[in-house]
Amino acid sequence: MKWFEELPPDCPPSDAMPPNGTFYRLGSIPLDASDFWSHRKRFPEKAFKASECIVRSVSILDIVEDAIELRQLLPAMHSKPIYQVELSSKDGMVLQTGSNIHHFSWWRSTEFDLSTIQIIEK
Amino acid sequence: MKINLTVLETLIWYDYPQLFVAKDPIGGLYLCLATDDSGETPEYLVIAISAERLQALRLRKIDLFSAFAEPELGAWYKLVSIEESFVVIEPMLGVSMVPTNLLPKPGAYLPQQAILLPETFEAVKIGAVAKEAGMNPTLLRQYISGTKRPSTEQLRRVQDAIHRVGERLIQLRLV
Repeated sequence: MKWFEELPPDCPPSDAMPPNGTFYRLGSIPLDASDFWSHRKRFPEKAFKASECIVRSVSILDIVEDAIELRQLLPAMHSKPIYQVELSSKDGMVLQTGSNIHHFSWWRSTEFDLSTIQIIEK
Repeated sequence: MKINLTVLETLIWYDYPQLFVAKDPIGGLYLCLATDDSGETPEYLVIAISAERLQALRLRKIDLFSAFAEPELGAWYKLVSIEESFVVIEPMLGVSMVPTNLLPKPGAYLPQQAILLPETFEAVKIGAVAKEAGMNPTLLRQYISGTKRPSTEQLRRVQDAIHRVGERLIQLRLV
């Protein structure tokens, strides 16, 4: 698989799986390619406490209710619309990460097509 | 005055740490919340928080808005630098109220935490619980690691099994 961003060795982790289904992400209007950049690509100089593999993934959620809840909780996300993305095995690999069972890290392949994104809530 | 903090735990990760707990050199706890990521680096609002209030937040007894709108010490801080596990904050002087756009919406609680956390199994063997539940230990390990997500029914099986193991331990008499 060809990755959208350069990944470190052993990344994605061996327990990551091909995605298959609907996921949600908070983005911006109008849609910008950087809405689907990882933390490392977006903040190359910023060093947060996290593994280099995780910081090269993109956060997605498997239920829309969580996206709505996060938007309420997080001031940095208040004004962001909710994107709906349909992911299949060609789009990369995903793994549930963190303490929120609905949060997934997504390692994007170059196959993912931004034009398939739907904005479901502004 | 700047305060050096050490990051303890990320409570909400979404692309980067959106909400995390840090502590100062004498053990005081701080809660750091990302408020804006439109610039080259995210900005954070920081409050001091007691262990009791942090626990109330985790248990969804208070909402995140209340924690940040009415901090226990009546003071807010801003994060001035972050480097891996180390953070530097400084007080927001002359601030008596934080603008609402920097605060969570009222009534929003921390997401429900995964129930089968590794900490749950620090005192009991995974194999023993799996055997008691009539479950494959590999499957239980996958639930704990988050690789697979248990149904409510499976969670109840695990919970009942832990309780039964606990009851047997309580009945144990050594002297």
